Amino acid sequence: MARLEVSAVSLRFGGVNALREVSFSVADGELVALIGPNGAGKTSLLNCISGVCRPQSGKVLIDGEDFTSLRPHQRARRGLARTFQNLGLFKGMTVLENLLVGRHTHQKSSVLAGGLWFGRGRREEQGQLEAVLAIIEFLELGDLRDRLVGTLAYGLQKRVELGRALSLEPRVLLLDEPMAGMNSGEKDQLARLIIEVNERRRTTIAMIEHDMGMVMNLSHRICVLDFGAKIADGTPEEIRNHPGVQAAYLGQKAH
Amino acid sequence: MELFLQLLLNGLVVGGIYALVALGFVIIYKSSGLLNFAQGEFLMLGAYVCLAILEETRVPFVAAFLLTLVFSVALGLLLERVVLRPLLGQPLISVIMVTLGLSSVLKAVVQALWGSHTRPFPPVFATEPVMLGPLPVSQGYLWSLGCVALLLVLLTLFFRFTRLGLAMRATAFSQQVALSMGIPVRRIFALSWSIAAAVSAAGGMLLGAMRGGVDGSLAFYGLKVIPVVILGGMDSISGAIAGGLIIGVLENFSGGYLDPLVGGGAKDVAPFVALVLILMVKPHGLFGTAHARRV
Amino acid sequence: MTPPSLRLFRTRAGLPALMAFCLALCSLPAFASSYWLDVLCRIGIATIGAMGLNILTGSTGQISLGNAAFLAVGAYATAALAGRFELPFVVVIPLSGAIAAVTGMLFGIPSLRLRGLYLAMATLAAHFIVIFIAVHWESVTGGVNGLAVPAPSLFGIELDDDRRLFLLILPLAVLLLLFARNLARTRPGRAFIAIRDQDIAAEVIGIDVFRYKLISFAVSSFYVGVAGSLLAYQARLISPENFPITLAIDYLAMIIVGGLGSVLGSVLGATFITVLPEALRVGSGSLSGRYPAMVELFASLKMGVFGLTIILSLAFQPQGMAARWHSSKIWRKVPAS
Repeated sequence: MARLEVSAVSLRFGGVNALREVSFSVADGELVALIGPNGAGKTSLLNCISGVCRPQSGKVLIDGEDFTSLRPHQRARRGLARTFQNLGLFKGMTVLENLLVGRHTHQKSSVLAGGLWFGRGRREEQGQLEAVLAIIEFLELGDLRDRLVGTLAYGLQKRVELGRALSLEPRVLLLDEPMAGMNSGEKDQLARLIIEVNERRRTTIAMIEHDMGMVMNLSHRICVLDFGAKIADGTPEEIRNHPGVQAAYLGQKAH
Repeated sequence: MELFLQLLLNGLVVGGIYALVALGFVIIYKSSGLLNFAQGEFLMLGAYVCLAILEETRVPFVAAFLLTLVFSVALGLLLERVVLRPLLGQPLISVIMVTLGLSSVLKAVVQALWGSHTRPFPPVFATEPVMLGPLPVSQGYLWSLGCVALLLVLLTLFFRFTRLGLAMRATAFSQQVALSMGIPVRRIFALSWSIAAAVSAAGGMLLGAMRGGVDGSLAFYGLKVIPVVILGGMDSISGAIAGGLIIGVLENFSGGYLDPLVGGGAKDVAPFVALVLILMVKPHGLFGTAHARRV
Repeated sequence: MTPPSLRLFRTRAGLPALMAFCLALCSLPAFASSYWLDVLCRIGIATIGAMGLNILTGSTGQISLGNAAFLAVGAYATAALAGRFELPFVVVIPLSGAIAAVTGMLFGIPSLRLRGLYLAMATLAAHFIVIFIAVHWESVTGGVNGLAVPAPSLFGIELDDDRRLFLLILPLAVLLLLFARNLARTRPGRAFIAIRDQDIAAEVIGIDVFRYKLISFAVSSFYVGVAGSLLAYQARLISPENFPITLAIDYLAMIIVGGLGSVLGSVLGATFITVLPEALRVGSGSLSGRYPAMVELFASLKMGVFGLTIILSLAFQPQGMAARWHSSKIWRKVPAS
C-alpha cells in the first residue's frame, strides 16, 4: 500500500479547472518531485492534499486512511506536514517558537496547565523544548534560535519553515518550492538536508521544485503536471526522455 | 397608513444623510483601503462651520453651504497629508485607532470652540408644511431630499464622465494598474479624503438646517455608517446609497412600531441587529465584492 | 539555560524587581490620598481588562470593540450574584469572569467566518445590543437606574473603601498577569500568535483555529469580566452609563499605546491612559487660578489630548511603550558588555 495516495482529484475555481482527475502515489520512504510549467496545478494539488482546498471529486489517502473530508489541522494530527511557496511563518515569533508551534499536535496541555505552569503541562513544555532544539541543531540554525523570523534572510526563513514542518515529525512531508529564491550554495545545503530527512528519518516527501538539476538529482520519481492534468510519471531518466514533457516545457501542446 | 408614510418619509430623509456619510466612507475605502471612523465628526464639524459662517457674515445659506464645502475639501486634504498618509500599509488596528483618535481630536476642537450646548441654527427653510396628498411634509425635508439626490447625481456623473473620476475608479480597481498608467495615486487618495469630508459636511449642514440646531450628538451619525456600509458592501457606491436609505427607513420603522413594545431604544439598536444578521448571511453586503484570499 | 522567549521574566532581575515593586505598591495605601487611591484602584482594574483585551486583540489578532460590553456583563453579574444572592466575593469574582467568558465565546462564534474589520464591526454591534439589553431588561439590570453592589467582605472585614479594595485588586492583577505571561510562553499562547500571524499555516501545522479563537475569546472575556466585577465592587452602583462605547475605545488605546500582545504593555498602557486625564485635571486645575476658562475647557482638553496621544504614539512608537522599555534596557547593557 502506498503511503500517500491521490486518486482522481479534480478541483475547479469558478470556471477554471485547476486539477483534472489527477492520480499519483508516493511509496513509504520515497521522494517524489512534482514539476510542470507555471499554473499547471502543482500548488493546487498540495492544497488538496493538505486540506487547504477541498477537491470537488477524488480522494486523498494516507496509509489507506481516507483524508478527503478531514480539516487541515486533523490531517496534521495524523502526520501530514507542509511548507508554503510564499512562506507561512509566524513572523512575530522567534525561530525557536516557530518550531515549537510545530509540536502543537504532540502536546496536550490546555489553557489552565499552560497558564499555571504546573505539573504535567510544565514537564510537557520542557520535553518539547528538547525535541525542537535537536531539530534546530540538525538544520544548523543554532545561532539564530532566538531571532524573530521576520528579521531573517529569505533563504534562512525557508529553512526555518522546513524545521517547523519537521517538528511535527510527519509521516508525509509536502514541500512547495523549498529552494525558490536561493543561491546555489544555499540550494546545495538544503538539498543535503532534504536527503538526510528522507533517508535518515525515513520521511516520505512530495516536493514541488523548479530547479530541474536539483529535481533530477534528488528525486526517486517525478510526476509532471500540465494544465491541471498529469502528463507523465516516472524515474528521472524516463522523464528526461519523455516527449510530452519536453513539449509542455517548450510551450507546445503535446498531441 | 399615515404613520407608515410619515415613517417612510422620515426614514428616507435621514437615510439620505446616512447615504452621504457612507459614500464618504466607501470612497476612502475604495481608493486607499483605509477605514475612516471619523466620518461622523466630519459631519458635525461641517454643521458647526456652516453655522459659524452664517452667524459671522450673514451671507445666505447657499453661500455658507458652498464655503463650508470648500473648507471641508481643504480639511480633507490636510488630514490626509498629515495624519493618514503615514498609515498606508499599516495593520488594520492601527488604521482604526488613528481615525478613532482623529475623531476624538475633532470632537475636542468643536467643543473647545463652540461649547457643548445645543446652538440654534438660523431658519433656512420655510416652516409651513407642504401637503403631499394627505401627508403634511415639512419643506426642509423636501429640500434635504432634493439636495442629497442632486449631490448623489453629481458625484455619479463625476465618477462616470470626468478624467479625475475615471482616475479614481482606476485606482480603486488596482493601484498598480493606476500607477502604471501614470495616474498620481497619492493625489487620488487626497482627493478621496476631501470628497469624503465634503459630502459628510453637506449631510451635517442639511441636518442642522432641518433640526434647527446643532450639538455634539451629530457625531453619532457617523456610527450609523457602519451598518450602512456593511449592508451595502464596503466597496460599492450604489451600495452605500441603497444601504443608507434602507437603514434610515428600517430605523424609523423600528422606532415607530417596536418602541411601544420594548419601551424605547429600538430605533438605535435596530441597525446593529441588522448588521449582525447581514454579517451572518451575506458578509460582503448587498453589492460588495468578496475578495478571494491567496494562500 | 532556558531561551529568553520562554522565560517568565526576560532578565534575572525580573522577579526581584516585581516583588519589590509590589511591596512598594502594598505600602501605598498607608499614605496615598483617597483621590490617588481611587486612581490606583482604577489602574489595577484597567490593567486586568487591558491584559484580557490584549490576549484577544494583541496576541490572537481578533480586533474587538465589544470589551465595554464584556465589562458590563462582568459588572452586572457581580451586582446580581453579590446583591441578590449575597455570595462572597471569592465566589463572585471568578463566577462573573466565567459568565463574561461564556458571553465572549458566543460573540466569538462569528469569528469563524468573519475576519479583521468585519469582526470588529460585529463586536461593535454586540456592544450596542448588550447595552440595549442592560437598559431594557429592568427586572435583572435595574434599567437606566442601575443596581447597587454591596461591598466585598473578607473574614468579616468590609472592603468598603479604596484603601482596602486596593489590597484585593493588586494581588489579583499580579496573579492574572503572571498567568497571562505563562500562557504566552506555552502551547495555547503560541497557538494564539500563530493564528494572528498566519491563520492558514496555523491550521496546516495542526492548530484547530476556530477552537483556539473561541478559547481566546473566552480567556480574554474572563479577564475583562473580572475587571468588570472589580469595577462594580469599586463603583458600588452600576448603570448602562458606566459602559459607553468610548470605554471600549479607551481599552483599545491602552493596548495600542502600551504594546500589542505584551504583558508589560498592558500594564504601561492601562496606567498611562488612566493617569492621563487625572494629570490633565491636576494641570488644568492649577492653571484655573490664572485662566478660569481652563475648567470649562477641561472636557475638550481631555478628549483632544487622548486623541493626539493615540495618533502620535502610533506615528512615533508603533510597537508601543513596552518595546521602547525593552530596547532602552538593551541600550544600557551594550556599553557594559
